[in-house]
Amino acid sequence: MRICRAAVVALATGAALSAADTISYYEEVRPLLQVHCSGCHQPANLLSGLDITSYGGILRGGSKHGASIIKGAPDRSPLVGLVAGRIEPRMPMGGAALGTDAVAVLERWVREGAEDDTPAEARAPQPPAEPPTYDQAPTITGMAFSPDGSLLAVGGFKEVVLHRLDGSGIEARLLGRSDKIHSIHFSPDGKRLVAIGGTPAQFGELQVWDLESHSLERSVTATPDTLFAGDLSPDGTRAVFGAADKSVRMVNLSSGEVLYTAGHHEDWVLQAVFGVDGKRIVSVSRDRAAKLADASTGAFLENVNFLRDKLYAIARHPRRDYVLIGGEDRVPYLYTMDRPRALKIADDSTLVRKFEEQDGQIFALAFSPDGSRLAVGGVAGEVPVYDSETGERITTCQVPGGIFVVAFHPDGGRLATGGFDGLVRIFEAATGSEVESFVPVPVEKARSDSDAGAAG
Amino acid sequence: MNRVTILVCVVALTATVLPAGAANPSESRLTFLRDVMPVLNNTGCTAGACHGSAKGKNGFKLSLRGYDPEFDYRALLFEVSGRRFNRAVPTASLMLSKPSMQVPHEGGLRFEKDSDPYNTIAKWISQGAPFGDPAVDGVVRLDVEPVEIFLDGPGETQTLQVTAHYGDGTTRDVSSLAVVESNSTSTAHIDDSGAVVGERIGEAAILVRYEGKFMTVPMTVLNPAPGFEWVQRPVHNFIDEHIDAKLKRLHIQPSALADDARFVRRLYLDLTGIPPTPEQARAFIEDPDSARAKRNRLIEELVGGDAYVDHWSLKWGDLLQSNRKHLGEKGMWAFRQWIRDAIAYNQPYDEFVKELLTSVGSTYQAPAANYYRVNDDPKLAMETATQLFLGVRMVCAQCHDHPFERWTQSQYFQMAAFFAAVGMKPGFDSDEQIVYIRGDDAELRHPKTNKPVEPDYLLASAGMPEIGSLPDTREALAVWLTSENNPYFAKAIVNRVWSYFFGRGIIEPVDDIRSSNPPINPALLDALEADFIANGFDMQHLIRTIVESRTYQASMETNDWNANDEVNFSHFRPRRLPAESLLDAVTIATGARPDFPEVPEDFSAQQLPDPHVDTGGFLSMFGRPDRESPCECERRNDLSLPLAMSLVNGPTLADAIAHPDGRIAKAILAGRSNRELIEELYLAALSRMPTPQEMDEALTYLTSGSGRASQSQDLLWALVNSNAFLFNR
Repeated sequence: MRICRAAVVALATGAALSAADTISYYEEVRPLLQVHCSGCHQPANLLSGLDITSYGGILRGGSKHGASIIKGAPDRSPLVGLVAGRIEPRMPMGGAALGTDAVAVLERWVREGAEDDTPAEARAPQPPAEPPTYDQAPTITGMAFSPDGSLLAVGGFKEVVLHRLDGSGIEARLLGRSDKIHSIHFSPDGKRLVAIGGTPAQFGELQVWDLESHSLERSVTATPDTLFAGDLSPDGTRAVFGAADKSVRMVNLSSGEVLYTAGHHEDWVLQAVFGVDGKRIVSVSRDRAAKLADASTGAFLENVNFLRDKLYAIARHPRRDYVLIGGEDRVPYLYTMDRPRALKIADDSTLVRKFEEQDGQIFALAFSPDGSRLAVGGVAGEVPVYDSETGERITTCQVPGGIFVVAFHPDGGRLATGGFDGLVRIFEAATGSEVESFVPVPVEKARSDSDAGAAG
Repeated sequence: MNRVTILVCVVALTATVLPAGAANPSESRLTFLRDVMPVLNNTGCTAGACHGSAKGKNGFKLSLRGYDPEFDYRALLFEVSGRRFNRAVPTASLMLSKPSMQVPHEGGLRFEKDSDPYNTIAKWISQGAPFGDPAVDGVVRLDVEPVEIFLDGPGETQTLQVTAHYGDGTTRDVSSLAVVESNSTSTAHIDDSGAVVGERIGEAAILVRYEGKFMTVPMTVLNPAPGFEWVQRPVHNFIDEHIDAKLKRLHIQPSALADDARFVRRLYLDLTGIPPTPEQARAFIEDPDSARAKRNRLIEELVGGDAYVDHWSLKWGDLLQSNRKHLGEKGMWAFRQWIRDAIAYNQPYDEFVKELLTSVGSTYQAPAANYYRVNDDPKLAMETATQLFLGVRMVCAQCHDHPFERWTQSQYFQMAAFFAAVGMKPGFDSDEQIVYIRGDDAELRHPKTNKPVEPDYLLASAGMPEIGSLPDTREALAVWLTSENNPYFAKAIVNRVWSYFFGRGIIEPVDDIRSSNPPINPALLDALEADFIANGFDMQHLIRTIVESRTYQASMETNDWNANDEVNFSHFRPRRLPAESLLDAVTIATGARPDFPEVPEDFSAQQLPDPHVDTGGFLSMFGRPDRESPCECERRNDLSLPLAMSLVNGPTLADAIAHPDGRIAKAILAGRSNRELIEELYLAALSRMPTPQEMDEALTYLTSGSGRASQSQDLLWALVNSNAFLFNR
């Protein structure tokens, strides 16, 4: 295997040519550290407690050597000593040493005072000033109907698009910082919208929107990766969601305060829901568990399920403390949150019903508003609708494989799906016949080389 | 603004049909199969230490070396709601920002922003990220130039030209993307540019891989020394012709014939597992007939004899795992007798295997059924049958498609499905089992689809029967497997038998036949296979043919031109005696039988029924297999210090040498002269006469020190601890 290692050379050469100027943190030092050091010394990894991906993190330094740099004194700066090999072990550990030119860039930057010249616009990602333009439909990950059934909110790239369901077009485009929206929730009174998502491997964000003014009430950032799907408390005051740091977080929507971070999962937590009365929560994770916890403290109560395979989705019955879970093993399982008898290890007595095995992994689950039916989406090229009580398949909605979200309209008559191909499809929930399909964002006239793709 | 309903780059996608992209892709239309998968493989994403590992890395798993593009496509585009790509802004895709370290990536920099791999992936996403059509965008075959590499000496290099041919007839130069590996880096290594560099005189196979297809290119580093002149040694049969043809090409001069003493010991050990008695050795050495004539006569005498049956039954007992632990004591004895009968009657090998594979009934009354008592699970039965009888290792394919072979996971289960209906129930007798064919619920499910799998042959061959109706499809399998048209069946056994006489197979390891592990002498293997088939799968004929060859009868002494050759059979390679032969050789040398429990007292180690029977742990210490696996590798033939010390100081040897009914005691009682005694000890231990110098020294030793008996014991002890005794050479 041949790996290109030209980056250092290119960067260092650039630096040498600009010798007349001072070294720029943003233009020269930051990219160098990003390429060579950030794999291990980043917020999601933090080896030796060091986060080298931010200027602040460099100043704070790590647990072993303290501050990474001492301004003006490269000889006493651990960062320079470690990459130059003067301090053992030489960094990057186990990787190729930095070239002498690259080390010289770091040395000079420290000697010159190690200023942070990051431009203001680069310090934190900002919402786009103008609505984004698209030449392809973005993948649909988050989607929800408003409680009165008049709107369909769909997540796009750095935005949530509100569609009027009477066919009169787009009501608003809510522009935010997050590249991806993993779930969208209307407050029960329909006045607020909560969008949960973020930008992969950069930050997670929960957005709270005022739907009268279409303005962002609050943005809560958490974790160095996107936040995954969540739920609002029945009273609409709190939101719960899973995250890539294996946590479940609870946020007060009025204050933006993170009420707690519960760490009882062992892998990414991909979705969380409240119980009917809002006093308990259940979260599902790649660690295979659906975990029941106290909603006010986050304290772990017990596993709801018998552990089988990775779980990707959960939906709660609208009227009972039943949760439907699904994931890698393709089978939707309906569990009760209330254990009928004393807990035993590897006990499956909470299982209410197993549904038909799907043709692929399950990514999306939804109950109809009255709880009588449920829909299952994922890798398979269909979204079946089942009777919750009997487990029988009522009908099947034909879709291309790769469904990431399914949602019932509040009147229970219609079902929306979205996923890989970027199309919203609306079906008659009783018959499975498609009512309409549309790309939820405005797409520019496709470029010539995309035209051919439409033929496929 | 009105709702936008135009169709943009939307492509049909179902669980089984992935988006194909444009119908006739030109170079500017990119697909996952043709363009992106090679990038993932070439930049190390799918490597075993990275996302290709069994558990993936950091929650993101790809198939090992990209053997399953559909799986990888779904992992990249579907998992976690498509978090790894971004069609709205392709360069904001995680699958670009991670490997180019725009965001932290523990796996480090795989390619730079705006590099070729980066731009390929970005362009592909901007085109809608289509999967492609396997019939169009899949690699059908690779062409590698040159087809065979000859380097004129160490240090010489050769670059390879690799061309991929796609399903639509187009080609692409993939020399810089293909993965090139050497199976012997000490003979030739691959430098950073992908060129083959000779290291030392010898041969290696160069494996070229690209997108699931591979080619093996044989490579030879020739001896650059001047002055090679071929000296033709005698040719006994076709084996020597094929060996000579290759040696001549490689500038390797084969060794001359071994002398009669070496030959007689070698032949007895290899055909019967026991060295000749002093009388047998002396008779052969002193026979005035020509070497060729008396050797052929001895071969005729030994092949098929009682001792031959003992020895080859032992080998098959190992391979078929005849062991009371699995079969119970009575079942084991019954299976042993069944094997012995087959060897004694020289049952044609194809019938022997067919009988095992289709066996049913009581493990006591129909002993072949013990085969299924050992292999009591469809997957195990299939893995054993393919490894043992076809030399094909399927075990990798249980979890994923074989990385270096064409075998797929589906084939693994299709082959295992032949055994799905084999059931077992208790018989009337204690510990008796009845192998039978289950009528119902006889199905095997594929782990990926969880659907029942229909049995199917690993590969098509002429005359293969219809598989027929369930449940018992083993009959069809047995016919297909043992057919002369099966390209593996005869090849596997002739190669395995060859290895018993030379210490290594023409393909090595013998039970790992695959195109990336080519034979060292394909013409020889083909000729042996054809001869074996032409003679009706006659094992005795095969064995006779091998031992009659000059190649087998060659001396271990090397010359300037073959001293470095370890793989082309240009000289005999000494082999440590296997455990049972070592013990039997001690018996011959000392004249004292070891005590084996639970068997008749005249049993040799060759005749022992299973690993349960030992004497002081000697056999197990010297590497007798436990009969827990059908792999040849279960037998150990090393000679470590603990083994050597055990022999020097251990009770087995000391007791045997000093045994009151032993050879020395008897000779002294019979009034043999010192000279006679010394000759007898040399013949008994080493199957040869002492040299005059050895005789003088031994005579001096016997008449000095603490008495004749004790001095003789010292002499025998020294002989038995010499390499000439411990090794078959």
